[in-house]
Amino acid sequence: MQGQALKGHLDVLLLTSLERGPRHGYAIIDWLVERSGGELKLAAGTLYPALHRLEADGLVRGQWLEPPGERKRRVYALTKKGERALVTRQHDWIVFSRVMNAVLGGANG
Amino acid sequence: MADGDVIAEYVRELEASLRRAGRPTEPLVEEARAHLHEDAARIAAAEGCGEAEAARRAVARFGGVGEVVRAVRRNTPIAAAPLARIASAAVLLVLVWEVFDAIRGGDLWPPSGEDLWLTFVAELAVVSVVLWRAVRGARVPAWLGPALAANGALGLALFVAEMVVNARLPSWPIISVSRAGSFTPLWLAMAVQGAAGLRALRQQATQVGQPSFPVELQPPG
Repeated sequence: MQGQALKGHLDVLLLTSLERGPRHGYAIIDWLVERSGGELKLAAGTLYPALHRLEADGLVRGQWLEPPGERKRRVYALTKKGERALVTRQHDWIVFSRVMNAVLGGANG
Repeated sequence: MADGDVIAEYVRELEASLRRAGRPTEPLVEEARAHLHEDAARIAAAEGCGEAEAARRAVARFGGVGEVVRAVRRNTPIAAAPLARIASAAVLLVLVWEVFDAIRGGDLWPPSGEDLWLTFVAELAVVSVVLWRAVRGARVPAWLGPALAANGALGLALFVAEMVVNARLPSWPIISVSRAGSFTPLWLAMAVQGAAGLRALRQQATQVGQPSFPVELQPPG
């Protein structure tokens, strides 16, 4: 699987990773690895700039947290705008994947 | 080299590279530092290696400084876009003022030099709206570049005319109107809009064909 194949879908992956609650970057990477069965392993150095772009677009909100006895981490949460964007982008993805499946499946038929 | 040294050196290099690239260093640098220390601790615990080795692996997994800076470039809004938006907003404000002034004065017909000027500003406003959408990622119409170039050049020419050769062209309608109303800020806004807009479009064009994000995938197992 090539990274290029995911072009345009990183945002929806990141937004989905925050759907059930705030996470820090490390947890997002772990979540993606787990959910993809080890297929998706984002380099942290490229994940954070993407998160910052989503933050600049108002889709996520970042906040430094340092619970007692734990390391300082920047935690990201979906904003209301991000929640709306996630619904739209997940719908777009479902439509896109349905079309691709239909076309690719049809090619063998 | 100890754990902290490897990570500190990487973070210093990252910060310096971001500064050289003219990009913001925070919160990325602080976030990278926190991430690397956490990753190194996890690697050391999971694999039983020394702190220095764990730190080296954490740094390698994070990605080279060059890759990170490229990722920041891809994800940071293009530098000229904010200026293009400000210039567009200035032109739109002038349009609103002009419409308000025309309605209040009730002298839209027969067309005067000022009405001609109003038409001219309306055209600029259309360009502003399209430019605004373009720098936000909308499709760029083919005419936008030439329109920006024309408006920018015209704005600059009118500014120069108003400033330098004003006395030699006393009967030229636009100059005489602008002299009466002092439209210098508009001419400047046009010139800046043209230059910043063209720069923004050029920077956008160079990004076409590159992935909007880099994803490094590792084979399973």
